[in-house]
Amino acid sequence: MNTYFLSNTNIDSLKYYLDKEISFLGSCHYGNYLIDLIDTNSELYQKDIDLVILLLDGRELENNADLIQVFNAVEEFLKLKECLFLFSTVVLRPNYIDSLLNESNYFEFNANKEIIEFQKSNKNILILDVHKLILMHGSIKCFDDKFWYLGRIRYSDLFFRLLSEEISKVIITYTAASKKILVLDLDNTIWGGVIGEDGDNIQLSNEGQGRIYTEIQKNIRRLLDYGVLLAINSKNNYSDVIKGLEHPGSILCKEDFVVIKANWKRKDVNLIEISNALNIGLDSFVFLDDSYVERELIKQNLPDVSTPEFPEDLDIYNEWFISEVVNNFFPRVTITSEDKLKNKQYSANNKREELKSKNPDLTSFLSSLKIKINVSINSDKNIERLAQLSQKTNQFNLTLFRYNNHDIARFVASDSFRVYELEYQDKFLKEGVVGFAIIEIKDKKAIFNSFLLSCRILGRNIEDLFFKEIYKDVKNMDVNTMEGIHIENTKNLVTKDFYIKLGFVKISVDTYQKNI
Amino acid sequence: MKKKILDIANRVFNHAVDTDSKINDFESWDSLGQLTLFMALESELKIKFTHDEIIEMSSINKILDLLENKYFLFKSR
Repeated sequence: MNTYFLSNTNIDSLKYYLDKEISFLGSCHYGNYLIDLIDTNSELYQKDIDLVILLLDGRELENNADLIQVFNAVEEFLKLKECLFLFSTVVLRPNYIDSLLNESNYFEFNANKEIIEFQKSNKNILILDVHKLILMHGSIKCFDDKFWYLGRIRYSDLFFRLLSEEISKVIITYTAASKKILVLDLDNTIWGGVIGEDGDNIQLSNEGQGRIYTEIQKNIRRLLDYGVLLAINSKNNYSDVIKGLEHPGSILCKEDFVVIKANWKRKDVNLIEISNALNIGLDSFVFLDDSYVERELIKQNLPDVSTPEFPEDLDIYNEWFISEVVNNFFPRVTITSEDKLKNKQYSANNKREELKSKNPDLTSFLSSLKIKINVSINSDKNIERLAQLSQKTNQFNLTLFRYNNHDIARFVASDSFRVYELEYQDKFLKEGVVGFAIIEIKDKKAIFNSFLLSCRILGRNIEDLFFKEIYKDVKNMDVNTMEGIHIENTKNLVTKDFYIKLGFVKISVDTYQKNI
Repeated sequence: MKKKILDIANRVFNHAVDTDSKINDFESWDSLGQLTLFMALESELKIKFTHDEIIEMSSINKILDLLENKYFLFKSR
C-alpha cells in the first residue's frame, strides 16, 4: 500500500519500522501537514497514494492548531483524492498532580470526541487509536524527550514498533473478510455448570465466577451490533435451554439467536444444518465450545469452520474472547447501520425445515480419540463419587433412583447386587469415574436397578461399550434374562431408546427384556 | 557485542552493515537514520547516550569504541 505520512512532529523514523505491505511513499515537511493538505500542488496531491496517515501529537496540537481547520482540510482533500485516511486520536502526558482537574485533560477528551465524530462523517476515514496504544503501554515508555530535543521525534523505539503493528492491524482488519456467524455451546460456555443438571443453580450472576459468564454474555451480545449472527449448538433438551436463557442472570435471550439447535445430535451435523438453513457457507462459521472433544470433532469433520481453542484459565475468558475471537474473526473498524439489522433479516428467512445433511464419519472420529474404558465390579474405592453421580445425574440416568454413600456401600457388599463402576480416558484426558450401573440378581433375572453416565462423555457411544462389559459379566452368571427399567421424565429423554437399541423388547410401560 | 550492534544496525537500516560502515554510506543511514539507530540502541542496550555522543558516533567503529571505553561492553564478548 502506497502510504503518505502527515504529522505535526517528525515521524519519519516510522519508515524504519513499517511492515513490507505498507510502503513509505513520503511525508510532509516538518510542521507542514496542514499546508500539504490544502495545497493542491503539494506532493500529496501529485503522487499515487492508497493511504494517508495523519498522526497528531496532542501537545503540539494544544499549542497551535484548531481541529476544525484540520477536519475541513481533510474533507476537502478527500473530495479530490480517492484514498483511505487514517486519523489518529491524541494523547497528552498525564504528568500533572491535578491531572483530572487540569484543563489539558478537557482538551484531550474533547479533541478525541471530535475526531471520532468526524470519522463517522466519512466512510474513507478510519481511526488510528494512538490514545488506546499509549494507555495500554504507558506514556513513560512511549514518549522519549531526548529525541524530541534532538530531532523533534516524539516517540520511543518501543512506540514506533507498536504503532507500526497497529497500522498493519487496522489495514488488515479493513480489508479482511469477517466471519458471519458465531455458534455457541451453552453449558460451561455461556454459563457455568450444566443446565440439565443444575437447573436454576447454573453460574450466571454478578457474584463470584458467575460474573465471568454475565460478562461473556455481554461481550457476545455486543457482536449483534456488528451484524454478527448468533446461533446455539448444544447437547441439551430444548426446554432446558429455554430455561437457561430465561434465567434471571442471562443477558442473551432466545430472540438473539437465529437458530437454536438443542438436541442430542452430533454437533457437526447440527452445524451443517444451520449452514443450510441460513445459506451461509461453513467457512463463515466460528464455533465456540468448552469441550475439546466437540472441538476436535468439528476440526476433523468440518475443517472450514473456525474452531478456536478454549482458555483453560477462566479468569482470562473475557479478555481472550475479545482478543482471540472478536478481533480475529469479527474485526471491525467501522460499523454500519445495516449491520444492526442483519440478525432480524436472517431470523425471518430461516424456516425450520427439515434438512438433509451428509453425515461425516463419526466412527473414525471416535476411533481417533483412542477411548479406553475400564469397568470394575463391586469396588469400594469410589463410593462417594458414585453417590455424587447418583445425586447429580439427570440426563443419562435410566431409573433416576437416588442413592447416598450408605446405600451404595450396601449394594457393593450385598450378594444379590452387582455394582459396575465405569472409568473413562482418551488421548486427551483421563476423566476418572464417569458412570455406574447396579444390577439386581433375582429369580434368574439380572435387573437394571441403575444405569447412568455423566453428561461430560455423552455422544461418544460409551453407553454401548459399558453395556457390553456388563453383558459379558452377566452371561457368566446363572441367569437367563436381562430386565431393564426406564423411568421417564422430562430430563432424561436422551435415554428413551436405550434398551431398544440394545435388542431389548418392551414388555410394559417402563420395563424391557432381553434373553441371554 | 560486535555482532549485537551489527544486528541492530542491520535491522534499523534494512541494509548490510559492517564495522567500517558509517553515516551517509547508503540512503537509509542519513541523519534521521542516525537518530533512529540510537533510539534502537538505547532501547536494546538499556543505555542513555548524551546528545553529543549521538551526533558524533557516526560509524560502527566509533560506536563500538565508545561502548568499550565508557560502558565496558567489549567488542569481543
